[in-house]
Formats: sequence, C-alpha cells, structure tokens
Amino acid sequence: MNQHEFTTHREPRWQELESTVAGLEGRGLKTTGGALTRVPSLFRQLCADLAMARHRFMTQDLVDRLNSLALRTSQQIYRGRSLFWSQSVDFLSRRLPAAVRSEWRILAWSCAFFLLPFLGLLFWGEKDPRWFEALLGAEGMQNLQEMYGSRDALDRHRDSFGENFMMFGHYIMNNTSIDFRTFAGGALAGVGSLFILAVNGLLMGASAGYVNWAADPESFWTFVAGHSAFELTGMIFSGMAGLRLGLALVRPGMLTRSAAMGKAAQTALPLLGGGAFLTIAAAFIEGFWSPLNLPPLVKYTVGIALWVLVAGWMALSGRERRA
Amino acid sequence: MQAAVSSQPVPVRGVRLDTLQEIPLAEGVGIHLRPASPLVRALAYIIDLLIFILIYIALAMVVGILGILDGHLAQGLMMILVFILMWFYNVFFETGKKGATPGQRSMGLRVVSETGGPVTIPQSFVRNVLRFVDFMPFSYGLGIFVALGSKRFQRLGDIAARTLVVHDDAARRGAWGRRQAVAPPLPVAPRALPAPVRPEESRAITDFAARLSTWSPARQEELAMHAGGLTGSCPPREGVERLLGYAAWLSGQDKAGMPPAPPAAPASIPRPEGRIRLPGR
Repeated sequence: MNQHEFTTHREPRWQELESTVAGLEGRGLKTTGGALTRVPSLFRQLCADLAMARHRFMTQDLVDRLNSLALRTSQQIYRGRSLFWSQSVDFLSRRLPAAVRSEWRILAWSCAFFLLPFLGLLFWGEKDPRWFEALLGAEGMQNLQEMYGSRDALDRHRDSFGENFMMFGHYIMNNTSIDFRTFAGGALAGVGSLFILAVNGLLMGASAGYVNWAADPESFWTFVAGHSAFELTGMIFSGMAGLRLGLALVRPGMLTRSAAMGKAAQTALPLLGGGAFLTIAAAFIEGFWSPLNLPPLVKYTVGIALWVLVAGWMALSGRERRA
Repeated sequence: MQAAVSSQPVPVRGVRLDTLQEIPLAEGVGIHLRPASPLVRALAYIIDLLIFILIYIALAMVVGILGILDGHLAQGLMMILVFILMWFYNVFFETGKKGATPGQRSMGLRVVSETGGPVTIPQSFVRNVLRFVDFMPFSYGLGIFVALGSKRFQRLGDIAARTLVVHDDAARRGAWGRRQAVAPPLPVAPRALPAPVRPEESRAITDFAARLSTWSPARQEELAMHAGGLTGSCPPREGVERLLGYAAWLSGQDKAGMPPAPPAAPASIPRPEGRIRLPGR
C-alpha cells in the first residue's frame, strides 16, 4: 500500500478522531457519548497508522500530523478526574502521619534548624539585647510594644469580624507562601529550606525573647498559644518537604540526580500538603480564636490540648495494625 | 575488524540534529515530543504575566466595590484571592483541557508529563512552586541555566515534577482538519525509479516534492543536484522535474496524474492451510 492509498483509505478515521478530540479540548463541537465510545478503537488504529507511516518512511508532513494527533488523543484519554479531594480524608488520617514518621531523621533536622535559634534567642537573647535590635529593628520592636506592651493593648484585640477576616487572609497569604518557598528552597540542595527555617527561628525567638524581656509576656503567650501547634508544625513539615528534595540532589543513591529529584518530589508532596493544611488551619485559629479576650487559663489549656492533638495525630494515626 | 568497520559508510542513524524526544505509549507506538526552548517559554511567560496583572486589576476593582461595605473584610478577601492567583494560576490552566496557560497556548506550547500523558495536579503544583528557585538570582537565571544544560530543556521545577514543555503544533495552527493528508497530485507524469532505493532515500524524494513550493527555483535546483545519482547529468530544471516524477511514482500516482482509486474491499484473504508456524521457534 503506497502513501496515496494509505491516506485515502485512513483519512476519514483520522478526521473523525480529530473532531472528537477537538471537542474534548473544548475548541470544536461538543462531544457526545456516541462519539466517545469510538475514541479508544480509533486511537489504537491511529497508533498503528503512525507506526506504519514511520516505518515506511512516508512524508514528514503526514508523520508529523499523525504524531500530533496521537499526542493530543493520549492527553485526553489519560486525563482522568483528579482524586485529590476525594482522597483528602485518607490523606490526613493515614498518609500524612505515615510520611512524617517515616521521615523522622529529616524531622529531627528541621526541628533542630528551627528550634536551636528560637530557643537560643528566647532564653539567652536578653543577655545581650543588641540581638533583638539587630533582628527586629527599631520598627519591629515598636510594633511588639504596641501589641504586647500592656495587658489590654488595643492592637491585639480586634472587635469586628471584618478585622479578624482581614488578618485571616493576611496569615494565609503570608504564612502559606512561606511554606511553599521553604519547600522550593529545598531544590538548592536543601540549603534554601534550612535557611528559611533558621531565619524563622531567629525572628520568632527574637520576638518572644524581646517581649519576655521588655513587654508583657502573658499577653504574648496567651495570644500565640492557640495557633502555635499548627503553625510551627506546618512550617517544620514544609521544611521537611524541602529537605527531602534537597537530599535527592546531595545523595541520589543509585539514580541519576534528576530521577532522584523526581522521585523525592513525590515523597515530599504529602509533607508539603500537610504543612500547607496545618498553616491554613493555624491562620484560621490566629484570625478568629487567638484575639479573643479570654482568661489565660483557657488560652493555655486550648494551646496545650492542640499540641497534644497534633503530636498524637502524627505519632499514632494510620499505623498498620499488626495481627 | 578495523578495516571492515572503516569500509562501511558512516551510519546516519544515531546522529541527532533535532531535539525530538521519543516517548513510548502503552498503545505500542512512540510519539515524538519537541521540547520548547527557554526563549519561546519566556515569551509565553511574559504574556501570562500581563494576563495575571489584568486579572489582578479586575479582582481589585470587584473587591474594591465590596470594600465600601466593609474595608477590612474586602482586604482579607483580596489577600486570599491573590494567594490563590499567585500559586494556582498555572496549575489551573496546565491541568485543564488544553494543558497550557493562555500565554503558553498563544506560543503554541503545552505542558506534558515525561510519559507523554497530561500533567496531574501534584505535578503541576511542584513545577510551579519551584519557580521560586528557578527565578533566582533574577529573571529565571537558574532556571535557564539548568534548562540549557538538560537534554529536554527542563528547569528545576520540570525535573522535580517530571514534566516537559513541548511545542504543540495543533494549538498553533488551530485547524488540523483543514490540512489535507491527501496531497494534491503532482503536475508531472510518474517516472519509475531506475534502481531500487533505500527507505530513507525514498522518503527524501517524497519530502522534496512535498516542500517544493516553499523554496525559490534556484534553491529547488540546487537541492535536486544533491541527488546526483538520480539527476546526475541532466540540466538543473530537468533534475527537479525528474525528482518530482519519481515522487509521484513512489506515492502511487497513475499516469493521468490522478490519485489511484481506493482499494477494493478485500474479498477474501487466502488462509494458509493448517497452523501458522512462527519462525525461530
């Protein structure tokens, strides 16, 4: 069969498949059920035709055309519906805790890079207050004074839903974006993630240490107690996701570095997803719960309860039952 | 051994002049992907950036009207919307029906998985989150550096997400159906080849005929002279005519310059008696 016979004979099928695919892509007529059932067989025939056209060295134009149609059809056939949402319960109850537990070494490293600067400044910063000034700047210190300078500083207690919602939006945009950047920074052999974790540790440690030293600690700790559990774990998990990616570049094992990175990204994604989820939950608490003017005992109890909840969730949830 | 190898003609196969990537499909055929270079992707990015800014302005105007009622609420809403726009603009379009953002589509590009399939949401998310590092130190410096060093123009985000940005000709030309595979018959009488040719050579002859109209007459003659074995001694213009004749013959055109009639339905294929024996078993 020469090219003329081949194309004359096959052209109607190709045209039929093309118009169906164009419909699926949303640029032609809308595709109906009857046409859809013919797609698989038309696609297999197209693949065979493409192989034949290539094998017999038919003109480049024809081969290109069939290749392009095969690519587009396979894109539509394998598109499928995403299971992202339907799997989210399973994700939170099983996959996320399992991922955190299996990456405990990375968890330790992330915690270390955040906690050491944080605790260092919290406890020993006041021995040399120039640390606070260097990290927070005059403006930062003044802001902290305005918020936590006295028991009922006005800035902290917001009294309208609108104000709470504004801060909620602000925390989502700010903190979740930091999570994503922490993960992305992992692609620089993990250095970016560690850097962001450490900087956050420094800044948070300096703020807490400064308030302890120069303002009213109770107003600070009652404010942050509620959202601390979710916010800090969210940040740590994003750091873990970044480190997982970075370690693939440093120690790719038996794979090439690009293959190792592709694989690591898949392992890292549950961690990043979990981190983002926790951060958004924290934004919700920080927006609507933390500013409430309640007795310190209530605030601390809720804060501790949430820490216990997160720890128990990550340590126990989704373990395989052993018979 | 040495002599035997050197007396062979240099094999053409294996020498790569193009950037085509062959991806085997489950259907048993390889499709070819053409990865897009950083330049065309940068243009697509600029278009997306402009669209992004337009969406931003539109959002700000709508939310601004809401702000008359409650300024704080509107500010919070705007920040959430900007957050979504910032991190999920690309994800939304790349995982959509067309597999490309408006900017990529306008440049005829498409994001696909390394397996040739469509990108999934996690893949698209990874490749777009990693823009943050690809952008470093400024204007995608690292991304361009990594992409130029990779075989398939992948920046860090593409490597981690296992994705490629490829040229999708259909998106560019828009009208696949208007191009007819059944080429109009060539205006010459078919001429039988004087000797058998290799498949690559027959392909070269038919491609020459297919692309003839894109060249100037001088260029046509120059190219025809390269087929010295077939057009050797004749004057240049006649060489072109001859090659066209061979092309017509190769593609099965009959004397009148008309395409052959469609083949009659196979009445009955003679079946071999007994079981078919497979060779080598």
